[in-house]
Amino acid sequence: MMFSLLKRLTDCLQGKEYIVLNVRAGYKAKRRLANLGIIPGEKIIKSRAAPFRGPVEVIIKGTKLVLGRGLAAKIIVRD
Amino acid sequence: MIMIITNRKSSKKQIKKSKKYKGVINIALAGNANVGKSVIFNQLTGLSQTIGNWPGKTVERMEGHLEFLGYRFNIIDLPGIYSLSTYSLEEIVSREYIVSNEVDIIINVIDATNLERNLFLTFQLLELRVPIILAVNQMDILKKRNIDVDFRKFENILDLPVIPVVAVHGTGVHQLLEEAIELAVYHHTHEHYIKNGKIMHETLTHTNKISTQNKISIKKSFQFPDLKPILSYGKEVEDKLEDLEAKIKGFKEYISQFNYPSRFLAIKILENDEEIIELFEKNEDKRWIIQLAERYRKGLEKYHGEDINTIISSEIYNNIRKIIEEVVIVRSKGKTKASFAEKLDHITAHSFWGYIILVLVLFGTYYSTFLIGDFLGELIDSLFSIWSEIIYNVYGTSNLLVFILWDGAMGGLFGAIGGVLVYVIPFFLIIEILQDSGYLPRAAFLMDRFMHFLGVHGKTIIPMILGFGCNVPACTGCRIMETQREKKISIALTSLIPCAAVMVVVLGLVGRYLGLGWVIILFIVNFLVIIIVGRLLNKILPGESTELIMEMHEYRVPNYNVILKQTWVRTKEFVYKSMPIIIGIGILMEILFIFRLLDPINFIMTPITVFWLGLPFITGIFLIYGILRKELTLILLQVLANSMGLTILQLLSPIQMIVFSLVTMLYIPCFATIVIIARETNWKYALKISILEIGLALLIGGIINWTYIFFSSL
Repeated sequence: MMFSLLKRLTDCLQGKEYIVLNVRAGYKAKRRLANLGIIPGEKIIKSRAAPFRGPVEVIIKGTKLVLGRGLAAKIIVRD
Repeated sequence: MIMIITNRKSSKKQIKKSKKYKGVINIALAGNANVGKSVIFNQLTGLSQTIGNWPGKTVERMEGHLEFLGYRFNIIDLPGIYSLSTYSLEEIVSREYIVSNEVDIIINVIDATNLERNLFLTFQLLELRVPIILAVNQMDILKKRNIDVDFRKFENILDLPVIPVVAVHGTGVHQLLEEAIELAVYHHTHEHYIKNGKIMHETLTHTNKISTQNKISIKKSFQFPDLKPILSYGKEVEDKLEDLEAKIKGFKEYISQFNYPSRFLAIKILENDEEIIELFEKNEDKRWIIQLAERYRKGLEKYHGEDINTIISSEIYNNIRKIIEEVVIVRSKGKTKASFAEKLDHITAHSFWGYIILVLVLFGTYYSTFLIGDFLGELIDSLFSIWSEIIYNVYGTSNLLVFILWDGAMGGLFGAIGGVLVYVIPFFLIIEILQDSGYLPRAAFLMDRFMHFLGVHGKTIIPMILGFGCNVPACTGCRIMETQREKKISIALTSLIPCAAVMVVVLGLVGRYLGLGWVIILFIVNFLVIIIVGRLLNKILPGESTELIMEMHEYRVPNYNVILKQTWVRTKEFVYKSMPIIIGIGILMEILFIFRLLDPINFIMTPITVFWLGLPFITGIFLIYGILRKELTLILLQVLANSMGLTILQLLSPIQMIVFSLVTMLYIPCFATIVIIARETNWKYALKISILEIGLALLIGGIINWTYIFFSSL
């Protein structure tokens, strides 16, 4: 049986589906992400990451979003 | 701050003109970025477009008009936005405009292939209670995926017109206007009926006229449907909203000036929206509403264990999901092969190949701009010299008027065309292709990490890439940055990118006489300066830097129609607004030359040019001319050398060449760029940037000169 593990989005496996648990960003960034659909309970896939610890690209609500790495690290997900 | 936007030029003209029309309908196109809004705008308005700025804001304003079924339509293409919060200037400008009396009907363009995300904005627009027509674009692509939309159901749920559109083919585009007339004349939506899968309409035979005075009343008399069930944010939130709204309604007179519906104000106060809060904050006897909202907000956040924006966004997405379940029909989930677009996406964002392609795109952009520009520029230059011969032959060479009018004004005009415009046009073209195809976000994705060294995020790479061709359009490209702060930094950095003209100087001088190694060193110095300026501005400018949040669109075949029209409109704007200033400076320079005012300037500059930088006396003037067109520094140097019967090698020592090129590279943005910086920000900032760059150029140039003197004297 798999344990439900909490992870930062940046530590996720590429291509695997996770569930957003919460977003630990500031008010403005959090509102922006919520507007774009990054809300608790939502399915999220890290589709790719830029090299040299660059930004990550996620698929959320059927669209691809690129998030700066610092911001992506503030998105907490579970399996 | 809320601003009442006034229609600057057209309102008087419109009313006069409108007599021959059955009525004037003002339409705003709203929607996410890259949903085909600009394609629809182009389909509707053709070449009637003008491009400007929103009054007092540096957000682009696209305007156009057309006549259709006897009505005049004024159409505004609002910037692409995802929400009506205050994340970016675009969002603020858009929501203020949508509720203003300047616009009667909103056409909300949504992407059929991405309904969920797109409807989020729609749901926010619905809260503004303005007449909305939904244009569901890219229906052809959706149908190819074996998915369909039940438009009749969709309309029944929203009680607003929902029209299928294939913008690239023009399908359904004019139907949007028919709907607009319907809304404007009858103030309600009409029944559609569906035949063979198509929505049919009765032929429109309007006898009703919209009186020219009732521009406001189209919106006012519109009966906004009761959408309570689909706009509900859950019982707890709704209870608080109801209470807040009732209290806000008590400020009836005060709030009537803002045009926002009271429920919208209640939502925004509850959401802690800076702009709306400010409206009530500045009014002492209304401040209590903010405190009340804060109490409610805290209560709700405690109850849900989430912040208010997450609560409301979740509820909106829940409501959207319910509607999508109702209206979207999935026929069969066909297997989709990796399309060409996906393969292209894979390789252009690849950890290795992506960078190779980026470099190729960069060189390609630069090289083709340079090639086309150079070719056309030479053509225009030779045209000018042929005509000059004729003019001199007819009027003589000592005629003062010839000097001022021909050499000054016409010289300035030809200079502006041959030196700037020929680079600007191919450049706009390439930008539009890169933009329309969807390449640029990939570059931003790959470069985000590196851009953090400069204190900005990945998007800045886009104008910077453009800057290699010409700084002028590139600085305009900085409009894509979300905040004023990001935009200012991006503009400063972009203005430091060595453009085609600078390349001419560096390659023609250092490259030719000292070899490529030195060219590379100069470029490295240039980039170090960019890093320094970026970090410096990041420290100086107030506010904090934002992180990259960007939608990664799929690639698509660029729409040549949009590209050509956009290039045309942008060029037109450049010609009207910036060329006169450039030509004016040309005249001024010529007058200075005629009255021998240049020598004193040269003399005044000697401490800098001769002493500090170790350059020949005459170069002071070259550097001044270089502000006009940077390649002039080299051209004039060559002219001088020729007239003295010397080669450049005899005129300048290697160290002087390096210093001279470096100073030309960095010392100031060219005049056209300064004008654009001023237009994009303000003159004060343009001046500050210029001074900063002059300072840095002199500092580095001087250090090189004196280091050389120091070591050679050892």
